[in-house]
Amino acid sequence: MKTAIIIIVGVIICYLLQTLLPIWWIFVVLTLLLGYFAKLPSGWKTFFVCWLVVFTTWVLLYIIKDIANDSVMSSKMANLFSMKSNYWLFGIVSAVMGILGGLTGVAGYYLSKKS
Amino acid sequence: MANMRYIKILACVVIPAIVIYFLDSGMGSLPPLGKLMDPVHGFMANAETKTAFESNTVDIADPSVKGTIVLDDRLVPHVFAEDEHSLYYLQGYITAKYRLWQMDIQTRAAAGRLSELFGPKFIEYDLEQRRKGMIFGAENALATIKNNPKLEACIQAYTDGVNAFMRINDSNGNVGLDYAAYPIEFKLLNYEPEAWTPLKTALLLKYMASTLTGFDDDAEMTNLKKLLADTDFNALYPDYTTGIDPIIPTEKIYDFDVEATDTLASTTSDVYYKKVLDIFEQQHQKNQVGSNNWAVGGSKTKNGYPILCNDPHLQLNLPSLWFEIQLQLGDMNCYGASLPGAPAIVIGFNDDIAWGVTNAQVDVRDWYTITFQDETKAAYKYGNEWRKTTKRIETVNVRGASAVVDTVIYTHYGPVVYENVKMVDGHQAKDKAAREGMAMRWLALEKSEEVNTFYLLNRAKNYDDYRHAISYFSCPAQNFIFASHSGDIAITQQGRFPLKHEGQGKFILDGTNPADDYQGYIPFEHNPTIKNPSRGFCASANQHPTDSTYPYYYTSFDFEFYRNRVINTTLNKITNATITDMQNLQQNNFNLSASEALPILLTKLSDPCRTDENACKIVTALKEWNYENNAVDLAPTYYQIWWDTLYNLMWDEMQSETIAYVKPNTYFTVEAMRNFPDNHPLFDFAQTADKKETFADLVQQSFTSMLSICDSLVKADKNVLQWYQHKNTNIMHISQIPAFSKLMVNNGGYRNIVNATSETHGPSWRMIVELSSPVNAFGIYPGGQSGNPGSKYYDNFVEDWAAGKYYPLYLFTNLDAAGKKALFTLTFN
Repeated sequence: MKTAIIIIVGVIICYLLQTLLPIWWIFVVLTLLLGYFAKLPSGWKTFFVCWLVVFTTWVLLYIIKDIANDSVMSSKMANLFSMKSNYWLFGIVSAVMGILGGLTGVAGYYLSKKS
Repeated sequence: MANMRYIKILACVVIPAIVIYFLDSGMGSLPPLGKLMDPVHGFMANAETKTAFESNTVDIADPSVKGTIVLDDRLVPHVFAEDEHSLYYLQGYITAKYRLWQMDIQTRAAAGRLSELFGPKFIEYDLEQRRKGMIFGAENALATIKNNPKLEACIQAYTDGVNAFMRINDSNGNVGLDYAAYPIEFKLLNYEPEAWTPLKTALLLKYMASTLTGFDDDAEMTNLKKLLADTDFNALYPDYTTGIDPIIPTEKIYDFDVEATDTLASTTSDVYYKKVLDIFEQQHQKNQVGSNNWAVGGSKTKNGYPILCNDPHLQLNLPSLWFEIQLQLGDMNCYGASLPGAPAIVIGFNDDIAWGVTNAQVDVRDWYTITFQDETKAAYKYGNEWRKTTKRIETVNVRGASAVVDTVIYTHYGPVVYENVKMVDGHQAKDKAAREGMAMRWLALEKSEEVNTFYLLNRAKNYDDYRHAISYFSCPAQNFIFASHSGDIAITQQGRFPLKHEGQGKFILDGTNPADDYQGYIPFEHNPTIKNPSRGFCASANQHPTDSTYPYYYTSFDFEFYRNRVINTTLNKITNATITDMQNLQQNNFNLSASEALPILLTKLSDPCRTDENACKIVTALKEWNYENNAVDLAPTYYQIWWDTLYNLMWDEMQSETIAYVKPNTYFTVEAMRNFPDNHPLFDFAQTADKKETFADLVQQSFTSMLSICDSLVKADKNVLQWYQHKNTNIMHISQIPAFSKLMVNNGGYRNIVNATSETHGPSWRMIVELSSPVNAFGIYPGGQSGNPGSKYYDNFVEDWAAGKYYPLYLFTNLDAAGKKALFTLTFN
């Protein structure tokens, strides 16, 4: 339950940060803090939770805009990057960003161990 | 354990930091992928949604601008302004809103500034643009414009409007844009937009001049004169020939007092005929750029009003070259196609008149050999004197490398474009070598104010206004077609043409000989023109402007011989012409050149039906062909492959690897097929030394090659022989990104056909205007109003264009009328 709440709150905050600040990597600041304060039981779990927060947020942001655009832009970009479809593009990019978020989350986790 | 924890912390911070650094800054030719992929500010910010079409009041913080822009259901802006400053300001604003990247890249390409964006691989291109004098020419144009306060104000207002768009989309209030607001190409190519300037507008117009007049065959003709016997040269490369159907009908009598040219005969040609020029083969872009226009008088139309039509054939790109717009100010109410980057409307109509253009195709670029006094090149010989050169320093900034500084020597003719040419593989270096050490005289570099023509045409009300407006047009020379509500039709070939003695400018000229210099210019009144001809229509399709009774000498790099005859034949016959008739003529796929060439080929071909079933099938298809290059037919493909093969076999003498030649065009090739004896030496294929081929041999050999080519094409892919598949019209994104392009467009036509859609070029804007009251107009271009690939308005016209459809063009009389068709409205006050 606690993990689910962390993920939901994390996604909401991440969504707001990504929308309001013109810094694409701002999510790593959030995941660093998340890893530090969430006090999750292990580094692996912290990685997974942070990965999920970032992945979900980016996919959500993509999908909401994409539906409103009838995939006009994303289909061309997927073609440009030789992806099978725009959903592959969204998935792969969001997963990679998730890994970055996961790693910084783990850094936060180990930092919290000290204190 | 503690150390392990620190290592993990370090790893989990450092690895993401390194990855983020590279994703934020880009690597090599890769853009910064992190920024690009940002779902909020990256490429998805260019994913246009319906919020982009909400009406609002735009806060441009400039109280002097008052007006409204209504965007209709095709995203065409209808600009209603309260004063002239506001009119062009709003045109600049709305054009930038939809076409900013296109405007930016075209002017950078014109100015030779691509290296600063894309690195060293563009240095050669940039240097050539500089050395050709593109910036020099634009500065000259701007200097002329500064003498016309109204025009200067118009261009400045347009500039201010473009910059206002950038400023209000920059959260810091600079003339730039926030990253999220960048057109997608800036993000992909990883560079920043910069402020617009009047010089950029001048550069854009020079870019067009270069597209339309930046060719010549002077070196090639000089070499051909040496290669060929006089009778062959005169038969294959004449200035005039029988059977041409000029723009100005032969009824025209040129009864004016001709301006005298220097009667001294030039010695240059003789010098050059006797001398081998080590000139390398140049890549030619023949029969690609062209256009059709015509105006049918009321006596030949069903409704009794003149109908004017125009379709300029230019390179087809996305975003399109053209941007539709209506400009309304007081009693000026004008609609048509504008060039993104330049104020006013280039091809269009208002309540009283309509006008259009085709390229004149007259040679306005000549090359002079220069004899320098010494190695400093500070002076050059001209007659009995040494004239001083001037030097212009060009600095090309290069991304990721140090700047390249170049010195260009200018004579009174113009710049010495190519010096110290490196002989490396590739055509560019060969092109430069072809004209090394020569000075280029190109009309595009001289003082001019073409924008004034469009500014005045937008306001013109009658024939006299039209004549006054076009008098300002220098280069690229155009055939200006005209029709008015009052019933006049007219056409004028307008440009600044030098007075030349016979043959001058067809060959390389002697820069030391004043007799080879220009002797002045043909007066405006003497340029080819006709008003209300007795045949009831005016028309042009890049053919000869006049018959041989025109008293001034001109030559061309590429006159047209087929489209003009189809158009003139159709219009001669037509009565009660309607808009639909005009649409059909613009879509006409009749291949006149094939209809003249194929019967000759078939008579020379031995009948294959006894020996080869497949060959028999193809010959039967060709015999039954109606000469229409329709999209799904096979016969046009068979013919074109056969023709291309035969053409190369015929003119193999001109395929030298060391000497530059230009092959005869299609028309004179067919003339040679018809008139040369079968065993003419030029028909002999040089590579087979032991055999003397006749024309019939070449026909047979090329037919066999065609069978083999078709066979291998079909083996590779069964669906390649329908004409549209073989022709393969691609409308490429300007930066050649296939994902942003429309590939293999399904339509017919070809070079030398009225519907002149080829692989890369075609009717870039089709317009038909009936000068009724109100005006009844239709148009379409292969693109879309938005330059944003993330918009549904990016390429939404392409399929309709390929299918031959047209859209009604709305010349709204007022804001209320426009409001009824509004998608949304932008208010400025």
